[in-house]
Formats: sequence, C-alpha cells, structure tokens
Amino acid sequence: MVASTWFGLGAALIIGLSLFQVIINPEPLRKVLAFNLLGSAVFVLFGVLARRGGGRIDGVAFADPVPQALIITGLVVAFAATVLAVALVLRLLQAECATQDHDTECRIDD
Amino acid sequence: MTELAVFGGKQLVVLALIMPLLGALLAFTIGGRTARWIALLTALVELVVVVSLAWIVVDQQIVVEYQLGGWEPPLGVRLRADGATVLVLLTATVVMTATMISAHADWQPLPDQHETRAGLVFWTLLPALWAAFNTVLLSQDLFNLFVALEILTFCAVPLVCLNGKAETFAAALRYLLFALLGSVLYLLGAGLIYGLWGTLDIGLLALEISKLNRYPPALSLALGLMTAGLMAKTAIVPLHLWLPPAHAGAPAPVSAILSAVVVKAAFVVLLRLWFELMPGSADTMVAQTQGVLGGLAIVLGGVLALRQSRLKPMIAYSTIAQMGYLFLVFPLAGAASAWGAGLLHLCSHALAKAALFLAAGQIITHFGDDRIDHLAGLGHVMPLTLLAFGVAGFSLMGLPPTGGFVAKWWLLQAAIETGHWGWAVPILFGGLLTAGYVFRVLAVALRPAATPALAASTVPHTANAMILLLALSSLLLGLAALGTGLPPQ
Amino acid sequence: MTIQWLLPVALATPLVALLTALCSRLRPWLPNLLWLLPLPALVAAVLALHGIPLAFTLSGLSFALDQPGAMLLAAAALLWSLAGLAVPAVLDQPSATRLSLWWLPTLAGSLAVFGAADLLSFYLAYAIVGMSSWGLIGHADHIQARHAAGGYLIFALSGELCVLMACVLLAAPLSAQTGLSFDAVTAALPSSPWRHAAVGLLMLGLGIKIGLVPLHSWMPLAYSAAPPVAAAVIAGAASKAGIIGLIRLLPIAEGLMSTWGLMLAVLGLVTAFYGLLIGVKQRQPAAVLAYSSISQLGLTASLLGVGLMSAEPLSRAAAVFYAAHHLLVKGVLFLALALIMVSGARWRVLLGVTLLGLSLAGLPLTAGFLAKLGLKPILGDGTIGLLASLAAAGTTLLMLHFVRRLAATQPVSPTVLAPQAWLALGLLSLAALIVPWLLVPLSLGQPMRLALGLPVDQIPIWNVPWSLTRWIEFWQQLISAPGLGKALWQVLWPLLFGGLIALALWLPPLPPGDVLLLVERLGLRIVCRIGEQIQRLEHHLRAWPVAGLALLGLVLLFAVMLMG
Repeated sequence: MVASTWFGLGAALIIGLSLFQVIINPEPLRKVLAFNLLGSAVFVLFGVLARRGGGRIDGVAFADPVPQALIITGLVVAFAATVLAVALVLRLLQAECATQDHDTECRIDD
Repeated sequence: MTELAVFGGKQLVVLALIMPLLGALLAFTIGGRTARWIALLTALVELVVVVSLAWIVVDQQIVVEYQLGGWEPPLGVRLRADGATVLVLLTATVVMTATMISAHADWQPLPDQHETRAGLVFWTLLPALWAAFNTVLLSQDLFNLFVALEILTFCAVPLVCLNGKAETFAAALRYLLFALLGSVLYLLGAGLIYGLWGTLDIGLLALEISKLNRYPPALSLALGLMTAGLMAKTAIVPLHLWLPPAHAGAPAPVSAILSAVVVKAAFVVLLRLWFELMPGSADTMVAQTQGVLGGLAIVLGGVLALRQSRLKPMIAYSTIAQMGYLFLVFPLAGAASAWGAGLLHLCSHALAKAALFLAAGQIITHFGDDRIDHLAGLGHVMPLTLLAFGVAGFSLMGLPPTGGFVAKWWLLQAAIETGHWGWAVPILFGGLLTAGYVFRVLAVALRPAATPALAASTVPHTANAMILLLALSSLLLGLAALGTGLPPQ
Repeated sequence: MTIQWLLPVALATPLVALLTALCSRLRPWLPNLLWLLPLPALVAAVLALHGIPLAFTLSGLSFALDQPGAMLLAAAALLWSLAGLAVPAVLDQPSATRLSLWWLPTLAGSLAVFGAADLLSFYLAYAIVGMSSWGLIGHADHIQARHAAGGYLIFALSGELCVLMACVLLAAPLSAQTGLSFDAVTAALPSSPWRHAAVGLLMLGLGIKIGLVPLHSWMPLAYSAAPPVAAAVIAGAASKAGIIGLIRLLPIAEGLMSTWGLMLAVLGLVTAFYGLLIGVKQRQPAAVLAYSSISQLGLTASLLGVGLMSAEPLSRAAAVFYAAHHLLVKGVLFLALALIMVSGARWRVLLGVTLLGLSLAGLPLTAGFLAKLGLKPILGDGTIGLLASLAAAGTTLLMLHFVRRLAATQPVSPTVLAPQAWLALGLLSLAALIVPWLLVPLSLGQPMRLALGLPVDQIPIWNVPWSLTRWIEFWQQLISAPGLGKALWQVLWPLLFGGLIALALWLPPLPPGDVLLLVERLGLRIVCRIGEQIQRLEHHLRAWPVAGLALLGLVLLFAVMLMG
C-alpha cells in the first residue's frame, strides 16, 4: 500500500474514534477535545488529497496546493472554535459553581 | 448602459459583504457608546446597498457575478446574486435592520459606565453575523460556504449566552458543539468532493455531476456527509436538540435573529446542493427521507409548541415546525412551484418569526411575565404589540393573504402536481397545530386582566413600529407573491 | 440428509420429560423447562416448510410432516413454548409442578396430532390430547373447576368414542396392502357401504371437539375454569385437533359429500353466530374468549363444509391458514388474560390485545386480514359470503367486548410478574402478527390470488417449499394486484360495522349537544395523552447521544441511498 492509503486509513480511524467520544462522552471538555481531534483527522485527510492531487515537475514531487490552503484556513477556524468552546466551558463552570455546590457535575447532556 | 449597471452590481455584491464586516470591526475597535450607532449606521447603509442590488437584479433580470481577485474557478471563488438570493438577502436585511432599531435602547451603559459587555458583544457580533450570512448567500464555493457557516455559528453562539446565566452557557455550548459536529461532517464531504474533481465551485461541480449516470461511492458519501451536516445546523428533527434551549434562552432580539436568519443559512446551502448541484433529485430516496423528517418536524414541533407553558420556548418550537415545511420542498421538487414555495416560506417565516420573538421580548420586559396562562390583560396593556404578534401568527398559520399562506398554497399545489398527495397531510395538519398555539396565546391575551391595576403600555414606539413593520412585511410579501400570479421558477 | 431423527425426537421430547417427573428431585424443575420442550418440534416444522421431508414409522404408527401439518405444528409449537415460558411466572411453584404433569402429555398429543400420517397414529394422538386436557381444565382446586372438568370429560369421552367408531368404520374397507394412510382412507371411503355412518360419527366426534352447536356447552365452562395459561394452549392448540381431523379424514369427492358438506356448513355458520350472540352477553373474560373460540371454529367448519359441498380443495388450504392464525391469536388473548389476572390491567397490553382481537375480525395489515381474504373465493359473494362478513362484524363487537371486560379485570392482590411472562406475551403477540404473513404463500397462495383477481397458474396448492425469494416474489405480485382495493373494502366494512354497533351499544347516556361534549371530554383527554407521549419522545430525541447517533445514521443512510 502506498503512504497516502495508510494516512487515509489512519485519518478514518481517528475520525471514528473521535466521533465516538463526541457522541458518547457526557463531559463538555472531553467533547471539545474529541472535536479538536476530529478536526485534525479531517485535515490529515485533506493532506492525503493534496498528495494525491499532486505530481512531479522535473523529478521534484509537489503537492496540490489548494487542499493545503484549505487546511490552513480550516486550522484557523478549528482554533477559533476550540477557543470559543473552552471559554464557554469555563464560563459554564464558573456560573454553575457560583450557584451550586462545588461537586456538581456540569453537563450539557440531558 | 447594461454593462455599466452590471459593473455597478458587482460593486454592490462586494459592498453587501464588506459593509457589515466593516461595521463589526469599527464597532469593536471604537466600542463604548458609539458601537451602537456604528452598527445602526451600518444597517442603514447595508439596507441601501441591498435594495439597490435587488433593484438591479430584478429590474434587469440579470444574474450578478463577481470573481474574487479576478481568479476564475476552478481555483477562484465566485460570488453570485440571482433573483432568489436577492430576495433572501433583502429579507435578512429587513429583519436585521428592524431588529437592531427595535433593540437600540437595550444594554445601555449606566451613566458612570463606559460600555456594557453585553452591549458591545451584541453590537459587534450582530454585524459580523450579518456579513457571514450574506457570504453564505452569495458564495459559490463549497469551502467558502463552510467558512461562512462557521463564522455565522461563532457569532451566534456568544449572542445566545449574552445574559450570562448558567443555563444559557449550557445552551450555547450545546449549540456550538452540535453545530461544529455538523460543520466537520460538511467539511469532510467537501474535501471528498475536492478529491474527486479538484474544484469546489458549485457551478463546475454541477456540470461534472450532470455527466454521471451513477454516483461513485465517494460522491455518495460526500453528499451524505454534507446533507446530514447541514441538516444538523438547520435543526431538523431529530437533530434539533440544540435549538429550543438556545433560541428560548437568548435575549429576544438575538432569538429573533437566530430563528429568522441563522437557521436559514444552512438551509440555503442545502437548497444549493440539491437544486443546483443535483437538479432533478426529487424522487430519490434521500429527498423522500428529507420530506419525512420535515413532516415529523412539523408534527413534533407543533405539538411541543402547543405544550409549552412559556412564550419563548413556544416560539422556539414553532421554528422547528416551520423548518419542517422547508424540508418538504425536497420531495416536491419535481413541481414547478416547489422552489418558489420554499423560498417564499423561508422569507415570510423569517419576517414573521422575528416579529414574534421581538414581540415576546417586549411582553417579557414590559408585561413582566411570559407564562402563557398569565397573559390575561395583555391586549389591554400592549394592544399594538399584540396586534403585531397576531399578524405574524396568522402568517405562520397560513391565513390568506399572508406570505405563509401563499407558500403553503404553492406547496399544496406542488403536492398535487407531482401526484404525491400524502405530503398535503403534514402541511395541513401543521397549519392546524400552528393555529392552536397562536390562538392559545391570543385567547388568553384578549381576556380582561384578573388584576385591573396594570399600567398602560410603556413599550417604546420605535420597537412597536419595527415589530409591526416586520409582521406587515410578512403580510405584504404574500400580497406581492399573489400579485406575481404563478410561483417563480 | 440424515435429519430424519428430528421428528421422532421432537414428538417424544415431552414424553421423555414426563418420565423425569418420576424422579421427585427433578420434578420441581419441570415448569422451568416447559418452554424448551416444544422447540424441537418447531425446528422440525420449519424444516418441513422448507421442503425437507420428515417422516418415520414406529410399529405401525406412521408420522410425517406435510405442509398443512407443519404449518399448524409450527404455530402450535410456538404457542406451547411461549405459554410454557409464562407458566412459572403466573403460577406458584407447587401448582406449576402439578400443572406440568398434565401439560406434558397434552403437549405431546397436541404436537403429534399434526404429524400423524395414518388413522391409528391420528387417533392415538387425538385421544391423548383429549384426555390429558382434562387434567389441565381441572387443575384448580375448587368446585367449579371440578364441575367443569367433569362436564368436559363426559363430552370428550363421548366424542372420542364417536371418533374411534368412525375410525374403525373408515378402516374397515382397507386391507393390509393399502395400509391405513389418510390417502387410502379417503380414497376408499366413497365406495364404502358404511360411508354415511362413518362420516356422521366423525362429524359428531370432531364436532364435540370444536364445539359445534349444540355440542359446545362444555367449552365455556372448561375455559373459564382452567387456569388461563392452560386455557391458552387448549383453546389455541388442542382444539385444532378437531380441525386437522376434519381436513385429514373427510374426502373431497364430487357428489358424495354434498349433503354432509351442507350440513357442516350450516351447522358451522349457526355456531359462528350462536357463539357471537351468547358471547357478548358474557361477563367473564375467559367465557367471552370461549364463545369467540366456538364462533371462530364454527366459521372454520363451515368453510370446510362449503369446500366439501363444492369439492374445492382450496378450502382446506384456507382453513389451515385460518386455524393457524386463530391458534396464535387465541393463545395471545388467553395469555394476556392470564397475566392481567395476576398483575392488573395495563393499557399497553390492552392496546395489543385490541389489535390482535381485531385481527380475528380481519383488521387490515394484521394477519387476520389475510385469513379473511382467503375465505372470500371459497365462500363467494353470495349469502354465505355475506353471512361470513356479518360474522366478522360480530367478531369485532365480541373482541371489543372482551377488551372492555379485560380492562375491568382486577386481581384481588396485584403482584409484580417476572419479566419472562411479559416477554412471552410480547413474543407471542409478535409471532401472531408476523408468522402468518410468512406462511401465506404456502397455503393461502391460491385463495389470495383468486380473491385479488390474479390469474391462478399451475402452482400446486401445497408442497412448494418455502424460500425467501419465492416469498418476496409472491408479495410483489399481490401488492400490485388490481383487486386489492376492493378486497380491502370487503374485509373492512364488517369491521367498521361491528365497531359502530359496539360504539352505539356502549355510548353513555348523552347530554344535549351530544357529540361536541363527548368529543370535548373524551377527545381532549386522548389528545392530551398523545401530546404527553410526543413530548416524552421528543425529550428522548433531545439527548445528546441520540441526536449524535441520528446525525451519523442520516449520513450513512443518505450515502447508501445515493449509491443504490
């Protein structure tokens, strides 16, 4: 198998694992982390696409630049999302701790 | 002359994106008491821009296109405004402007304060959200759409928890995470599509897809991912978990924007996917499934709305039900009137829902209670607000001659035309449920108050005027649509 | 295939289990094993339906499974197994052990009677099932049960003597070469000098078994005295011994049987209406069910009678299906009664019971609809067809009456039942709803085609092995049949008619402004209830994992749909 296949399969595996966590784990912070991982796996997949779309000029391999550009944009978006989510988790904890006992768990699930 | 106008159109398309963004940046950097006025000014300028753009597109029957930086697809990003886009754009503009004006007095800093946190966030993020929404409408590039949808979410989420209560943080987090899940799925789909054809431009992809007689597995998976991801963002049943707490918990002007504008963004992209990328998909199983989920949403949302004891959760569940109507467009797409019906419903619902939420906000602030059973005497205290509430409610119900009526009429027509009579059942039944929850409020509100000591209304006239304007626009939209005769194609 | 050992094993299993009862240490275990014992028979029946011939002969007694036998055997084994599962839950330990001692021989006989392939083995099985039912009926230790069991014994013994005499007369013209197989019996009968005596005695004996008027009076007494869980197997499975006897032993031959056929048909119809009329006046739920059994078996008998009159072999196919359906449904109804008598009425159970009860009347989409549809081409559109439709209307009324009585049933001290009892009821209900749908192409293929106006090609009525592709093909043809709408209406109107009568009879005295007030009071309550349920459902939907999984499910669904 070629490397891109391995990377693709790896990305698929991570996507599966992190989707599982996002859906099953009731803790907000875990969800955020799992979501972050999910995003990263998708970007790995984009990297695979870049390699597959690439070619060779004068013997020098190059990758398709568009997916790479998409990765960079996506990273910024994912970063912003994570920051926002973590800020919300923090505020949620603060707000809950202000009103309730300290040992209550903060959940966003029903 | 035409060329000159097209040139002007191009400028306007870019301006429509840039103006609110500029407003957001200025409001954020200058801040303080000025932020509000910057945002309001932006709204007025944007109103002028969008109206002119709409005038050009409608008057000259053209489609305005603009390629960013002169780059052509497959590499470049296209902006495109056609008649449908312009209609939604105009609706959003009216809703935004009216909401901003009606909320202009909210979150005033105290005399010794420089600014309030909530005020700054509101007046900064609202124009930013607007810019993101306009990008969603105008963009022709799948990845660009993703970024725009993300910005839209990022602007909407902090607005949800503007009042800083624990439960609104939970609602906002839930909203954010579920929306993100939807976005990632969408992004994954877009990536797979790029892997297939090396472009993300909807027009080019539509060309490629029209050549296929059978979808390759990667395309099927990609479309499945994108469709489901977008559906998560439109809060269609059973993916609606985030909507009721977020829309009911947010401050009323924010709820108005969220229900009227934000949920529609993902739906517009869905329409793009299914009508532009894959025309003629009405009879596919996916379209049928979407229709079934839509019907489910109509019933579930309607029943749940009927069973709420408070005004805002009721209106939030009503949004779920009304989104269901939009999804009936997919299985009925074979009929000429379906597309127009969907578009009209989207716009009239946006106007009516914004009016409802703003009215609910005024009721909470000035009547002091939003338990539906406690609304007796409202008609006496706040007659104008209640009138607006009623008119907007009639539009949701689909009473003639409102926009909601014409939309449902066209949907029913489509159901008959395509021979799928079954879809008429949820359409009509949903109307019944809507009538139930609207009349429930009106019946209580028109009763004389138990305690006659309630003071007369102190609702600011501007707010009342804006709510009425929104409700009446929904009505006028219906009249205008009736005036055009046949639904647009 | 050397699977031939399966049939003897299947039929002998209950008897072997009975032997273990000799050991007092093992005896208390018996009730917990009851559900296992019919399973070999179920496997054997399923194999036979798939076209694997199963047969064996043991010292002159021959057993074999053809498709009619296998169908009834499969249904009976299911009922016996699931009713057996509920026994330890509804009865206390010593009582259940005592019941098991009679349960096992009844089971053995009840299974064997469907597998019997000759006159002797049939009579043997018939006698076993008839006699050992006595123990089940008289199980309860009170005067009423003893009275009922005594009455049953007199009827059953006289019936069995009649059948024995008939068997002797049937066997008389046969020689050692021809053997005693059913084919030989029915072939020899038309030329036999004792034919009328034989047929008359047979109908008398079997008529007692299936409760033809005026030989029916033991049945309501017995069913209401027996523990309901035992009544489930007697009314469901054991009573079908009479039906299989009518099918096996009466020859279909032009001319000879027309008088007897007419008699059977008339008696059957009279019984059908008699059961309905008396049934609606009953207050005990078990008695209501008993009269419903009388009515249903009467209808089956009249179906066979019409078949004899017109020498129509299709009537047997329709009768087997009708009987198999009734077997399962009546089992469910009695089982539900058994559970409710211990734990009190529950609206979910009542809902299921209503559905299955209306299945007996032919509610569309239930299996009963198929059974009713199968009657149509045989009974025709004339007087008999109309009478059968009216009987279906009556059945609707009777079943609604049963549900009402069931809802009013209050145990003296409600106890919590073991979950296995509810499991048994649930599974049996599912089986009653689903299994007949699977069996349709085997027996009801031709009648259904006739009823729906499809061409009847050269497919034999029986002995086409069951296979999934054939099944799907069959339903595809039927669903696109032109006569479906008409057939639907033909079955539906009696149901609506019966429902209306029930409504009219039970409507409380109406205040002025009748309907509106009623709708307000009743409708509002129902609507609120539905609303509550929807709200609860929505609450579950809003749980994060549910919504997340729904999202992923949609992704996969759409992807698969687009690929397909």
